[in-house]
Amino acid sequence: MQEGRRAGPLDLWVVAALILLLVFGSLIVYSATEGEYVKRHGAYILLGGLALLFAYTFHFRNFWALSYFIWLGSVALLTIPLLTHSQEVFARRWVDLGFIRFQPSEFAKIGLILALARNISAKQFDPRKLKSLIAPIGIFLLPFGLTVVEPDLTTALVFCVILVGMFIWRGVSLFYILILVTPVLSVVLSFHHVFWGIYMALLLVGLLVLRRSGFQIFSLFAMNSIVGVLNPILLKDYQRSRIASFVNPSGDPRGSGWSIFQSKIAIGSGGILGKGFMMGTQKKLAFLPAVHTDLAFSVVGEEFGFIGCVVILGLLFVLILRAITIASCARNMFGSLVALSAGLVLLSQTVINVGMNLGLVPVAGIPLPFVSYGGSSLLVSMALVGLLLNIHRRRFDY
Amino acid sequence: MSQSTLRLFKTIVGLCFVALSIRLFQLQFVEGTKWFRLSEENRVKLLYIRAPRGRMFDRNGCLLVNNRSSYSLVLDETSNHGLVENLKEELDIPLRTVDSTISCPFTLARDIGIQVASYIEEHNHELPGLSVETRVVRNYPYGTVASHVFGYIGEISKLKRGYTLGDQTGLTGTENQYESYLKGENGTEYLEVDAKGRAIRKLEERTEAAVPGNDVYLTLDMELQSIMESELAQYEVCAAVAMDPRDGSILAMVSKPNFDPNQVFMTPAEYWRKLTDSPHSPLWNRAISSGYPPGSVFKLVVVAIGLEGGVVNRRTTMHCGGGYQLGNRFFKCWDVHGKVDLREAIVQSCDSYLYQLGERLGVQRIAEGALKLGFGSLTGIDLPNEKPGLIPTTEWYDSKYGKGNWSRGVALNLSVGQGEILVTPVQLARFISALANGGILYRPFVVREIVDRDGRRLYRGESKGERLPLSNQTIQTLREFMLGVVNDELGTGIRGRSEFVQIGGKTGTAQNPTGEDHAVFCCFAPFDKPRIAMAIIIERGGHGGPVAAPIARRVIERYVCKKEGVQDL
Repeated sequence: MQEGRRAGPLDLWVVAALILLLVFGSLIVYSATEGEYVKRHGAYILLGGLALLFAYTFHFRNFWALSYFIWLGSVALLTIPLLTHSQEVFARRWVDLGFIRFQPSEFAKIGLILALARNISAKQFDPRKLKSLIAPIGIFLLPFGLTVVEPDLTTALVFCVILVGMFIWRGVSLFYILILVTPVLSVVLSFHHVFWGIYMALLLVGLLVLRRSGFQIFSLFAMNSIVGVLNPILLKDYQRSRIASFVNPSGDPRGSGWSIFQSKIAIGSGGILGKGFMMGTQKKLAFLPAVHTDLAFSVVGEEFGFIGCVVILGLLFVLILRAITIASCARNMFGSLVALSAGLVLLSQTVINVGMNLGLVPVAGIPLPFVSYGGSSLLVSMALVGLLLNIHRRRFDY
Repeated sequence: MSQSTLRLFKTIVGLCFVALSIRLFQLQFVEGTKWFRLSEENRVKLLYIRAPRGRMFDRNGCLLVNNRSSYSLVLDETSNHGLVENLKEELDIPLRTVDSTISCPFTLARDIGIQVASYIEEHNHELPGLSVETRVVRNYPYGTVASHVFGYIGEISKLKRGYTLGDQTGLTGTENQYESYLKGENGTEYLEVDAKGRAIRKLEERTEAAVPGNDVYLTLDMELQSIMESELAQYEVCAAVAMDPRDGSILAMVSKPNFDPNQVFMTPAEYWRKLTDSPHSPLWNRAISSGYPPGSVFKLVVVAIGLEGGVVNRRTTMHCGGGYQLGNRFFKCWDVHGKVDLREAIVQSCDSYLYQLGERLGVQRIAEGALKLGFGSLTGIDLPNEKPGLIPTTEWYDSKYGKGNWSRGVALNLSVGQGEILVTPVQLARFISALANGGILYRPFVVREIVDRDGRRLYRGESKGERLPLSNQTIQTLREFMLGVVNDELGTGIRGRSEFVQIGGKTGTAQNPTGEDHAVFCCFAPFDKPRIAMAIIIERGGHGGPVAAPIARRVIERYVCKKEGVQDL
């Protein structure tokens, strides 16, 4: 097609943003680890490049065909650490094969995206019928549950975003989405009685304003109340303390509130232009824990200042917006949903990670795409970009 | 997917990034300086370098007070109870008891000595959790000698301007009076530290060196001070002040019992407890803060007032029949002198003469005269906690006993320096100085000058004398009488006579209602060109003549004669 030729097979915006992010990310990892991890980071980028190339060149129909197998495989991977590892917190996020260690929850994103996209894009899927939602929720629940048990709540939250995003994209009615979303919000907010109360009030007002039926209002309200009351019994202590320390960081100066505080100091002290590459005192003097992974953005803020942060955020913004645009002009609903999900994964990870670094959300163990050090994350994020480019290339193929 | 859904997603993405950017703007633009300050506070640890306190010297440049290094044994971890017990046996030094209530770091022993300190350092690896802490402490090499003039220092109790927590400050004596000159200014050192508090490097460019305190040159003559202390060694409670009558500078000042300023704040606090439990209050500087009835020494004052007022002259005689009858009360004299003139009254210290003179003068004239001669008010000596003593006036009696409700007899008591009157040793020394130097009343002072470490003089102690309201003739008369007190065969101060130097003096015996009388002796020497004036009070010492006068003589002989080149004593 003429238009297709004009646009070219490769989305240059995406490619340029990706390359710049990877370069910037390498600098940050170099600075954060005093050069120690930068070689391995480079190796991960190469590995991610291969994954990207594969996702880009593999015929898209094959992804559709293999989607349930990939989902099954990723679920199987998720069970490995649960079976092999002890009760040790965080250890169960990893699969250790001796020569390589990876986070199955990262790979589960791809499995989930493909399987959900296939199911939701199917002709039988009727967004107006509650029955149609059962299968996708089932597909979602298995990896979600395993990830929660790991426990990796943040990645589980990303799964939620994928599911809800796909539903909305597909036109599932607002009521159904509320049924899915509001109980989760209720759980999160029920840590704080006041917040929860405000939330419940807002929910009620919102439903009345939207002129929902009495049945809808009652059922939603009842669900929210039940989970809100049950929640304190279900969550782990450290998770509760994380959220508590977010609500009141000064109460726990050396706990997770401490690292939020230190990351705010790092970013804020960077000012407009930053302290200069390798010159961050917060980073250098070990005030920032996990500085090359989850708190990499604070190094950006400290050493490159507002300018550096805006560049990073701008590049991610371009990538995410392109993903949604690609989703909107994909050849079919399957590709559209996959592209959308890629964008949503990047969006949610960016918002959670940067938001945490800026003290806007609780401490969450999630990397900043393309910038943080970490093989699994880099591989999966780059594979998602590969899928994105693949969909973009084939958008006019019939 | 509809256009509105697409718009919804794009809007959500946009809002997310806008929110993050606003927050970034807030942290990095709006609050940037605050967070930068916090990052500096994180990174930089401020250490104070304590300024060494200024030293003290006597008038001849002899070092009196300085600073030295002291080593403390510190326990950093509590887990080592057994270790401490073993150490106690091995080192044979007293260590504080370690129990579960202590908090680390815990000082096991202060001032352990260089040998023990180096032993600990050498066996460092066998003694985990123990370390030697070096501190600079104040050093008073003379121990108890002149301790009341030096005073002592202690840790500041609450933070004030110019001080750092844990700083020492002068609490009494010169240490307190000249604190602002002595203390110096602490320096600062900035260390870059990591999150665990480990020092990474010193930020040299921001280091500020400590400014040492200034050196204080006292007016004391340490030789005289030592002589005086040794001559008074056998008396437990006494006070003595020696003054240079030519300028008012204090040559020596003794107050006993005294204390060792090195030990005042030693731990354990047994020494402090001993000081505070003692009934004689060793920390109290009797020379300036204790009021005594001056006894017969006060006769000089009364006679001066009588001569000035024309109530008596040298030829006025009175009869002493062993006392004087006033109304229905008989005021006793210590002896029966018969017919005495004014000179004999002083030389032999006849009470009867003074009773009659006192009766003629009345309380108010004596009191007013005494006040004019510098009694009953602060001398203004540059030491803290001086007391004015008490000169009872008619108003004072009125307010104490009710108007007119007291007998005329108080004037008689007052005229022989007994009763309610209280004078301090330094007031006596000042008055005697004024008689010795021909009538100039100086403000006594103990600090001659203060010099910074570069030799610049910051302060000069001097005293502007004021003339006594006495005629030259009166003063010469009193001087001559005082010479007689010591040198006449019948003089009460005959035990103070020296064959090497002419001494003028006056004895006194202060009645003490709670025990034996206090012995008082005031004198000056050499008679022609006085260089020293002295007041000595020995509590419960008995009579001034036999007890205090010989002490004064020996002090003067050892001090003045040596100066004059008379070696053969």
